[in-house]
Order: sequence, then structure tokens, then C-alpha cells
Amino acid sequence: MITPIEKVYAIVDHTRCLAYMLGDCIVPSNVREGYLARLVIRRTLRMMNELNIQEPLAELVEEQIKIIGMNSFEQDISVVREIVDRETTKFASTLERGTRIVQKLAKSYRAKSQRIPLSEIITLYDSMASSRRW
Amino acid sequence: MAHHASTPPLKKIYWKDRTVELCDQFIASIGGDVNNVTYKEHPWIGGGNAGPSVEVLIGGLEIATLVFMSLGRQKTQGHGYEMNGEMYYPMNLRIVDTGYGLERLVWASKGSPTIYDAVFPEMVSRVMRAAGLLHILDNKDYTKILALNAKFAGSWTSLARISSSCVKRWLLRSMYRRKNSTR
Repeated sequence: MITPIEKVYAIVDHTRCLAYMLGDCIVPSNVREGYLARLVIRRTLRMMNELNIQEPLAELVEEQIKIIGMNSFEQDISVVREIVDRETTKFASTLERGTRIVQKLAKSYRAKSQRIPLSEIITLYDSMASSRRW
Repeated sequence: MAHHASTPPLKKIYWKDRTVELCDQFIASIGGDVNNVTYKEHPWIGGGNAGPSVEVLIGGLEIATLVFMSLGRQKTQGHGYEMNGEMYYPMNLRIVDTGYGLERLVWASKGSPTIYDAVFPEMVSRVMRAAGLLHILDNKDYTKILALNAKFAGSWTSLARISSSCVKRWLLRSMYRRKNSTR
């Protein structure tokens, strides 16, 4: 019963974290602090999906920036919005691609009446790691 | 938030008594009831050093930790202490390392069920509404859990400026939120 509320609190916490990260000019990427920002964005998006929240993530991050105070940050608010929107789209297509690959794999092994071997799972984990469940 | 002091040999800066005194004065200065503060002392070990440490709690909620580093693994002439099966000896340098939870103080002063409700109430409200979860506040079990949580945080009567019951206030606020959401 308490789980959805825990997610609400986590989203609230993560969006504030993102306000500071992106407001301080971190750009999401696949290395160093950029990767951390990407992980936080994706974890937040995942929880928002689970709660069926339609509001864009960029709106929530913008609200946090406004609460903290626009003058506290170097990054332009429109850039923050653009970054979050782009990451949101990118994550959706990564998830879609991942789902297609898993379905294809499952289908082909099912046709052969075999279990999916561990090596395939490891390849999946390595190549699609950014969309895995944490 | 923190204050630190590194005391070299033969010099006196400050140590335990003064640190606790500073902590007490700080709590009083922001309106806290010092008679409601618990100081809980116990030894700590970590990273090759050790010493005493003091947890600072208001009504059960930890708001600060005062850490004192006075022992090290290197053998010196002073009296050694065995901790977790290893020997620790007095160091020449004595270090005070404190940490105060800024947001925990806010939580203690607001007496809300969680630190989230104390630090970002507007966002909690907004995300609860976006997730369509406001109806959950009608659930008696849920409000009971939150009330218990607030009780365990235990701090709402601790700061002198706060007198009203936390849970009542929080529930009133929740009802207000719900009213707004149905507009």
C-alpha cells in the first residue's frame, strides 16, 4: 500500500537532484557525471511510468528549479527543458528497441524449443544495460 | 552543515565538552528545547582511526553527529585500547568533525510524517495529484502508517515554536490538497 507513495517521494527527490545536476550544467551522456545524470533521469522516468504520470519530466524539473530559485543556476532553463525532453524521447526509443530485441530472441529460441542461453542474456545486459531495471 | 577543529599537540582548541556546548547553544539559538535533546555517546571505528562520537537527537530524530578522532592504529607511547580485536593508540593530532542535517532540522521543526513533506511539500502535492494518488488519504490504514511514522520521527513538540499536533496539521493539509484537486 505504501509503495506508490515511496515512488512519489523518490520522484520528488530525483527531480530536485536533476534540477541541481542540469542547472549546474551537467549534460547527460554515457560517461562520468553525464552518465549519472542519465541514470537519474531514466530511473525517474521509469517510476513516473509505473505511476502512470502523464506530466512531462521537464515540467517537474523546471518546477524544482523555480522553487530553489532560477538565479541559483548557470544553465538556461530552456536548455534544461530541451535536455530532459531529448533524454525522455531517447529513453522511450531505447526501451522500444530493447523490447523488440527481447521478443525476437524469445521467438527464435521458442521456435527451436530451447531456453535462451546465458550468453545471450549477458550480451543483452551489456548492450541494453542503460534500459535495465535497477 | 558542520564545524571542525584540528588540535595539534600542546595546543588547546576545543574538544568534547565545548563541542557539545556549541551544539546545545546552536539548537537553543534556532528555538529548540534543549531539555528535549538526547546526547548518545558511543565509540566509533573507521578507516584506521577511532574515538568517541555523540549522536544528537531531538525527540528521537537524529539531527547531528559529533565525531571525535583521537586514536589511530600507529603505536604511540600513550595507553592503547582494543577495539574490534585491534589496538588503537592516542594520536598527536585530535580532530573534531561534526555534521548537522540541515533538512533534518527543517523536518524536526515542521513535524511532518516524512522529511519529504517537510522539505518539498509543494512537489509532493503536485506529484501525488499527477499520479492520481490523493484518494489514498481516505484510507485509514495509510493515514495510520503516516501518523506512526511522524510519531517515530518524534520531534514535533521539540522545537519551542511548534505547539500544534503534527498529525492533525498534516491531515488538515492533506484534506486541503484534496479539496484543491477536485476543483
